[in-house]
Amino acid sequence: MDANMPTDLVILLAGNPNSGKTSLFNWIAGAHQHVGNYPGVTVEKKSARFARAGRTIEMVDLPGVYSLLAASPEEAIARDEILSERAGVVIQVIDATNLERNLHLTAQLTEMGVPLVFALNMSDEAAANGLEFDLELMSALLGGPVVPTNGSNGAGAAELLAAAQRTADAGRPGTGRVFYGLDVEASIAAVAERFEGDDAVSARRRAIALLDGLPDPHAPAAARDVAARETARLEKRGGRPLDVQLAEARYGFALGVATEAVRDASPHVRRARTLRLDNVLLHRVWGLPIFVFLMWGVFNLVFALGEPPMQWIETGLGWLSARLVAAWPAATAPLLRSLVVDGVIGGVGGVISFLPNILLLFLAIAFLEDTGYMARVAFLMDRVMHKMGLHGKSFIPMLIGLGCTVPAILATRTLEHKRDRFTTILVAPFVSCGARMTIYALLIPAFFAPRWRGWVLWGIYLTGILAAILVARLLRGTVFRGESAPFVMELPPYRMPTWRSVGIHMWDRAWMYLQKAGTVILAISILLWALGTFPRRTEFSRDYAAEIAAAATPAAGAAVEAARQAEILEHTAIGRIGRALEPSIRPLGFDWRVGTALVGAFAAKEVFVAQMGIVHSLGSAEADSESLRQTLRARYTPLQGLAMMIFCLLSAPCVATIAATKRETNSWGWALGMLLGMTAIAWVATFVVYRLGVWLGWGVG
Amino acid sequence: MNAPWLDWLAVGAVVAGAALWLFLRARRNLRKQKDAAARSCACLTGCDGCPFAKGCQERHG
Repeated sequence: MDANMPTDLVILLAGNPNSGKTSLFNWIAGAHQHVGNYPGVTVEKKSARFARAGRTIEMVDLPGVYSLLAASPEEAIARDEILSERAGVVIQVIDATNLERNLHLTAQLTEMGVPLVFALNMSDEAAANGLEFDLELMSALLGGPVVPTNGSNGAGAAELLAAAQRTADAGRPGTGRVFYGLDVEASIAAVAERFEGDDAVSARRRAIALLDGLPDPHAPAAARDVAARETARLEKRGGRPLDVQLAEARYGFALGVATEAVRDASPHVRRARTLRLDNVLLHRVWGLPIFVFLMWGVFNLVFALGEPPMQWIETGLGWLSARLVAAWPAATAPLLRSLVVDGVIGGVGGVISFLPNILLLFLAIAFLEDTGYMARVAFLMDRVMHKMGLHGKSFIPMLIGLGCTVPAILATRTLEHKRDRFTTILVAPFVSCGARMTIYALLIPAFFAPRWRGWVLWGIYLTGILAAILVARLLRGTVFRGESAPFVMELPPYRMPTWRSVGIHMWDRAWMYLQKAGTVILAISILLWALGTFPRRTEFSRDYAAEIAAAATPAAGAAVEAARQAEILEHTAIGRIGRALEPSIRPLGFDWRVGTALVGAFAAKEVFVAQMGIVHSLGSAEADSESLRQTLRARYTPLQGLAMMIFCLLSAPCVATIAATKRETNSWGWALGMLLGMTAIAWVATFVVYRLGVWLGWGVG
Repeated sequence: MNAPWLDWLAVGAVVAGAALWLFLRARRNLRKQKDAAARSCACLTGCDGCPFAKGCQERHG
């Protein structure tokens, strides 16, 4: 159609995130959509122009919001668009399976003074859950027509559009109204009186906004004075902030509509099951211990079930390495042979063998997420987060951080306040990412008996979360002082995950891991091999050849050969870097080999494992991870192994995380501050643990 | 491949190739991050490693 044709009707589509708004928009607008940005902000604007029944309609898909209080850019945009006076009608998409939460937004929409239509979306799913809706009564209570829809198959979309056109033609604003209680209503009226030039609906809306604490620079001074006086009076009388009292009234409205217009015909179906499960899993006292126990179970399973497939991979790699060494004579292209055997198989092979552990961990996370339990964990952590001065939403980036810290840092964009956002960015790297799991999968079986492995891994993950919370507390008490804002946490009903969904997730994870091992880790391993091979030593401090020839036993000969290899390695670039680092890491129980692996881990955490494989396999015929574990056991104590894990957990994140931090904070200062701060924390914590362990005599033998 | 210079050449090419590939990849990633920073939704970045990745589109529905 002609883009220059004048628009006859503008329809705004509003609703909560996850309400199925965009699906309905796609059904109605079809292929006419245009995606751009709202001017001056980075919030995506989706709109479409199309012709229906001889008129040109523009439909705008507003950002998904929980309220119209303008606390976030999305909320401000939604509010401004609705109040822009160009909208002929606003359609609110309501998730019928989560009615009360969605109606909280309705309560605010009714105050906007615009014609309203309601799409009762996913109503078939709600009906399957045993809910019956009295649509007529609901229409009367909400003050606009209610049309049942289904975003997944487009059912009801045509009826919804027709209802929107009729409502817009009638031009009558929504008639629903929230009653805030006698006292508050009197105050609203007193403030509204001061908006002399406004009509009744606009004056009431602006009065409520002022009492809610929203800025209104164009409000008359008299209105602001009365609002301030009434706010103080109502807060004193109510014993809590006025915005909380107003929110309670809106929830009361939502609950009232849900109670009157919805009948739960089958209390024994999923809704009841969800409530019963929530009574246990969200229990004020037992909720968190249950979560901690579940995670303990997950970590035990990671090792118990991951061991056999890990052995198969290791056996396969060992066989491959042995075949290659046997088939490739040592005198033929010795450098290339060492690159393949020590660099590629020793580096990448070690990383690949931990694939089963990684997959099992993400299988468990995907399962907990798909059942709806992870949303409950965020809800449970909300209380803890607030006590620590963090926003409840901060836990969601931290959960994402279990996979990778980079998307976790990007996910902090959902936090409205800079202080919440920056604090979360700075502490998110303390949560162990999937790459760190590779390090634990190498070190834990190397140093700890099978029955302790799950415990140790569990302890490491908990230590990370605890460190994040403590550092957040410190930051909020010093550089980022201020109140943390409340938020609405959605709790989806519990569902049994499908094999297909979990299977796809596992496949994605496996593919991503193997891709990384076959590309980035491979390339870094090649570079690390070069650094661990050159410059080559031509003159030695001892006549090793003569000593080996004179050795009385094979063991004595092997010891001399090991000394020769050590002298070769120390002369290389990596050996020199390690030696230079050694004085600073020696107090932590680390030697120069560990130092070089820690430097490599800055590129990507998995490189720690690859580098340990390379430095311990250069000059050795075997390059599989089992022999690496044996070497580690022979060279280091369990306490040193624990110290390595603690350092890797708390120390500087990988370079991609630093780059993401710089990008998101727009400051090298914060990025470098994170780098130095985390390294300092890791050094001190590792020093304390190691020295305490030595002093107590734990794990030193 | 018995000639030592051929051994050196092969290893040199592999190491140089790996270094060049890493450099180009780092540069491309920095550009991608820059583009992603201009968007409102973290999920639009591809969600590498994000346990919630599969729900990205729904989240903003």
